[in-house]
Amino acid sequence: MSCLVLCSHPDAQVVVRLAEALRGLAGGVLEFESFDAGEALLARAREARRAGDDVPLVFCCLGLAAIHGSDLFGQFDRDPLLRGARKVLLDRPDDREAVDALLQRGLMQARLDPGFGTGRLQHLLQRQLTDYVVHTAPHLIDDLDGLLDLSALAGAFSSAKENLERLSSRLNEVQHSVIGVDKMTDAKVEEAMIEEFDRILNRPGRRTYSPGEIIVNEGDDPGTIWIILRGRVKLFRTIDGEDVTFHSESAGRIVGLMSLSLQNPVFFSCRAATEVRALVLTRGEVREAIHRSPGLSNYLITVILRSMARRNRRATQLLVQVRSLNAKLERQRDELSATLEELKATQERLVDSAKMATLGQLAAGMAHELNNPVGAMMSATTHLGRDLERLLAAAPGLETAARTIPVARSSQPLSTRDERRLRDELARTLNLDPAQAARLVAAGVHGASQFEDLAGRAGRARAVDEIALAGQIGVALRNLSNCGGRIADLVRSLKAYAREDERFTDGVELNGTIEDVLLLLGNQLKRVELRKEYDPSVPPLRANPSQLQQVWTNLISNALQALEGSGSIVVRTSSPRESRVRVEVEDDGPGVPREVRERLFDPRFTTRAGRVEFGLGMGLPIARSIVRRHGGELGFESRPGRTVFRVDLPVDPPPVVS
Amino acid sequence: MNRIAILTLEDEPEVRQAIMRDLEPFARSFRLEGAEDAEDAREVLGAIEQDGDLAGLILCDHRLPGTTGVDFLAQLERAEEHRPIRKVLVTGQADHEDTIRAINAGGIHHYLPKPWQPEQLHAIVREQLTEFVLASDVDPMPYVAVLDGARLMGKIGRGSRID
Repeated sequence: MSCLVLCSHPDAQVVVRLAEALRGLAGGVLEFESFDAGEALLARAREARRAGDDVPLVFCCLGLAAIHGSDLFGQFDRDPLLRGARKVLLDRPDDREAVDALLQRGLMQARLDPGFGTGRLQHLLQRQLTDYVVHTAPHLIDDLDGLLDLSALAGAFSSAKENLERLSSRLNEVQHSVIGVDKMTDAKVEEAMIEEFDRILNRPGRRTYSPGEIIVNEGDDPGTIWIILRGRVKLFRTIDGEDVTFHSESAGRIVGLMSLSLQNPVFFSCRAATEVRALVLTRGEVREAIHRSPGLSNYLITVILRSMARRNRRATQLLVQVRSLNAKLERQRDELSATLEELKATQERLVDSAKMATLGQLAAGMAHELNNPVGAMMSATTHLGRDLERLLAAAPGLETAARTIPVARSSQPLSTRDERRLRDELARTLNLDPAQAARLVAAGVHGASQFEDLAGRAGRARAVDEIALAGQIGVALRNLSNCGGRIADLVRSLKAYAREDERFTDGVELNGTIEDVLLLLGNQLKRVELRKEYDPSVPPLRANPSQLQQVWTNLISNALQALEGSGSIVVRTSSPRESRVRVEVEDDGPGVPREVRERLFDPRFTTRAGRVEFGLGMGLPIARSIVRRHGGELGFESRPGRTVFRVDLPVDPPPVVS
Repeated sequence: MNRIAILTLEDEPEVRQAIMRDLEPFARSFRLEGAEDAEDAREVLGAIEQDGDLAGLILCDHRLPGTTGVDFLAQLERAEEHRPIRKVLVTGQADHEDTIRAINAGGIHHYLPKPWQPEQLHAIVREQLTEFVLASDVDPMPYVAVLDGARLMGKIGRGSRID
């Protein structure tokens, strides 16, 4: 660390004399540097301070090249790092008033005649260094030991304690006087304050700002206050690129005071709302004015307090506004999401009923269209059989055929294994070739003795041909009748499924509704093992049978999809409690994947993207909505190897709310 | 004896009987067998082999108890001794994906949608069996009348040239 004494003076002789005198008085403690230009001196001072060196003393004259001495001092005063330096005018000025003004404004601390004597310099040195140590750099007390005025030093430090005490009693006083000032109106306090600043600072400079002009920007260094004499200002901050006004009525007439007192960067930007005329004061001026007029600090404090109170009230109002806006927003958001939910539910119901209606119409149409031809076909088959038998009975020489047709018509289909076994047996016992034997078996001939009965007196070869041919006719009639019956059953189930009304009927047999569905799904169920565990004692319930069938269809289709072709399904009914019935559809598939469970009942959700199948994606939500309409609940539990969808229904559901 | 067999794999008796009835014209020259499920079909294939006959053609339904026709045919395709068998899928219910799998994995030679016309079935059976005879070392002579005689004669001609 060094202690630098800086000097700028045009007269080289004066500089040399000062340097030598300082070396004599404080060689080894103070380092002396001289500069031709004031700017160079300023730059060096800043550099030294930034490097952590001290600059306790600066000498310069008023008439420097390029920069006036008083401006140089002003620069020192505005720079927080340099503010503590003691500034000495090394000049014999013509303008005594200017010097006095500099002294008064605290911009310089002493004056030294260029023709100084050593005693005078020593005295000045002692006094200024002591002040520097006391006000700015107490840590230099040891380094500057021999150069300080010890009694002044002692006085200064002992008076610090007194100062503290005085300060606290002053604070009391100020508080009292603030209460006194409090009786004055805002305008009066402000007027009084402005008058006092004018008086003490000898009417400092005014500035005019045109409307819209920026007076100070947020984030600027504090250090200046503006007292608005005329016009209005707005205080704002730039938030997300937009200027947001925080105070206009509540701005008050003093700008910059808060930042100044807190020594924080300027918080609000300030813009002239109208033409504004303002008194512009630097920190130095304010400090000096307060120092010289205790009354002024009362005014200032009052103005700060009132201005703070005003702005605080405004801030509170803003906060209240924000809160109520937030509450309103939240309410609107809640309403919106409730509306959305409702919309979704409505949509779901609409899709449900639209789908049901479409399926229902389709099924009803098909059932109607199929019913007539099937009926006619079945009736024709019956007539055909009967007429054929009558015709053959009357035909001489066709007795074998006449005996064979009723046997073939009433025969039951055999398994292919049994067919082969019987074929081989017949081929062996009757000594036929296997193809002939196979034709006999297909005709319903199951043994050699049956063959002999049918053949009667006819020769072996003719009997085989006749029995095979007549058997084929008989089996064809049987198949026509069986298949027609199956179509008729399907049509009946379709009609039940398509029952379009929304009405509930009493006495619905639960197991029956399931059986109808199993019949419809028969072909798909072939791929899996199906086990029915019906509780025959489940009570009849009040329900809409076609809608229940839709539920069973969807649950079983769902299980089939989960099994992907192989596995087993159990359909179980029970009555766990009085007046409740339960249907469970269980499969031993891989289980519902965890990530899918929550959305399982969401409409249109499908785990097999891209494949469209009957009911897929809508099946479970439709099932759930139907079950709920019946006052019941549809739930499921699932792990790999066992997934159960469970429908619980009341036997007597509450009236439907639609 | 060395007869060529046609196996119909179909679980519904009425449908199986209808197909086999439509195969009547082939009954003189070929062995006709029916099976109602995959297991039974394997049993029949075993019996055919045991009798010294050859399985030449399978007409197979798609939806079967416990499995699908495509899966069954794919299994046959993977077994060396069953690869030469001509395979026809007879179905009303295979979807697009099943069909692709039938061709890629099942080695299906033909696809016959239900319901079928007897003439259609006859043409397919004739063509497939002709292919089978041409690809095998079976003597084509007995089949010239019932199958595609012109093509079979071509084989006979080439055969004599090689001799």
